[in-house]
Amino acid sequence: MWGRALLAGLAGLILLYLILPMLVVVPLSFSGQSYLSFPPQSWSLKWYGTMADNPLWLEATINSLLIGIPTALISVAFGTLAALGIVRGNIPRAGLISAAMVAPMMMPHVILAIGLYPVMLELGLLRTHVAAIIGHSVIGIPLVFITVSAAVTGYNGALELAAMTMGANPWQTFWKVTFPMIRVGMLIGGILAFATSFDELMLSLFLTGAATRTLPRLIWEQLADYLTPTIAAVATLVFVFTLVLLAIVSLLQIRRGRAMAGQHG
Amino acid sequence: MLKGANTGTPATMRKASWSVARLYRWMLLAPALFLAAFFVFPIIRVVLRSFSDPAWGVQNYERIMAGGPYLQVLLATIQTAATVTALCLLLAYPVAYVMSRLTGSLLQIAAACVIIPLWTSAVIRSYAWMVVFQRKGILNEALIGAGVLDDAIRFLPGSFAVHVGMVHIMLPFMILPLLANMRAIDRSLLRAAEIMGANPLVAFAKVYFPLSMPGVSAGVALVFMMSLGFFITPALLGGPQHLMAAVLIEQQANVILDWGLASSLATVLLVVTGAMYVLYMRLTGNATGNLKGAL
Repeated sequence: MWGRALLAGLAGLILLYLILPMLVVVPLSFSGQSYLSFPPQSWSLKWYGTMADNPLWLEATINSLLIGIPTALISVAFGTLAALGIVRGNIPRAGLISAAMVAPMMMPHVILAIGLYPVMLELGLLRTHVAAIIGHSVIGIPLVFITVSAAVTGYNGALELAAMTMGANPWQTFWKVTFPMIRVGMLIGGILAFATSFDELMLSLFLTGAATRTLPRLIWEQLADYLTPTIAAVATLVFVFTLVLLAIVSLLQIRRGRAMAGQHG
Repeated sequence: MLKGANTGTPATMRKASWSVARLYRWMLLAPALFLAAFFVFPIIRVVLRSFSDPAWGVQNYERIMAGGPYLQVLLATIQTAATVTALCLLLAYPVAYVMSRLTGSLLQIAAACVIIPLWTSAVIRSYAWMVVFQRKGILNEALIGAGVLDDAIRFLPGSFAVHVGMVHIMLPFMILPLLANMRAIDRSLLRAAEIMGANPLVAFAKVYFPLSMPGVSAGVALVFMMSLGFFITPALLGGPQHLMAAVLIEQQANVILDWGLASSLATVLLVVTGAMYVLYMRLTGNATGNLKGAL
């Protein structure tokens, strides 16, 4: 009995360690002091004001959105095509090809970054939004591939076959049969690809410039110079935004889980 | 997971679906071309450049193998990744064990504690650790306040901070494969062992632990592989004393502009990571199954 309580306590402490950074950053952003004392002795919103006064933060946020949204769209398109092609195409050695599809996500980003830099330079795209969109899509496609593969594997391919034997052309089959079955997987994958792009630093360091730098890159540059609570304010807002995205994803997953249970039961 | 997609389809149907399958295969073309152009091609260029910049030959690799600071950084990277993996396993195992027995809202709270950090920006998390570890930071103030220390310790930059930060980022990647594995373990086997006279500790060591090995090996391979390429945490918390491969590569390419050396270091990192990825695939049988909880 005591052993069990001890184990539960230990697990609780380790889980606390996991959320500790946010327990530090969020209160710090409301600090009334200009140095990073914790817990803050007085409270204020002035660091949010400082952030709002500096146009760089808004600019970087807009850049991150201008890069993240197209990245999500490209990742959804290519990731979905790849998942359908591999799962429904009865590809020989599908396991190997799937592994290759997921590889960009697992590889250290620095390798891709120094590889893409000269390619973008030659294409004349370096320091444009397009360069970062392409780079982020390479790591976003695997995420969509994973979520859509799971969705496609979750129902019988005979459904599409039935539609086609009844006279539907491939286009109609996709929109009337396949798409309703996989759209939640596509949406979840898209949100995760967006979140990954929104958070990515290494490719942005190599591929964006002063006019296209993303939010993580700006935080990174500011961290090198000063450790002010302004960054805590930015971090808190980014954190809240991530939480909202995660909440949407888990709601979608719960709904999908229910829909699947209904189908089989 | 993918191979099983069409099992259970009658043989006649499989024959008819052949042309449809071919249609589906064409869908692979666009993503394959995109990844060939912007993933495979750039990486091939990195490998080629490691042999051709500034001149053809293996001089970049000779510089690494000469035993100077570059080799040291590569070895330190492998050592750090190994330590981080061991620490993650040590911390993740009890958490996953407790979580595998939870249900309802307690499980949801615990899962949120694992998933939320996973999706929180690594730059922001490293900033938080800087706040904790700095000279007048939370840790120093607390230790001095408690009378443990007379004077502040200099944690930054340093190995201790790097390990705390890296373990924090990798821990969810160890917990999730373990949890997936442990939830599938048939607990009646444990009861059987106890009925047969094993005490709980023996039952755990002889029955439960061996059954959890697939989760352990998947988690270890995944965490070690991902730790090798760490950049943000060692760059912010480690400084020049605790260089890791990715930080060194970024410096060589972005600051020193020695692209030949950067490419050869990247090639070494690629080979080691690639070998770990193959091992991970062998252990788990698929690329995605063990991370499903995270996605």
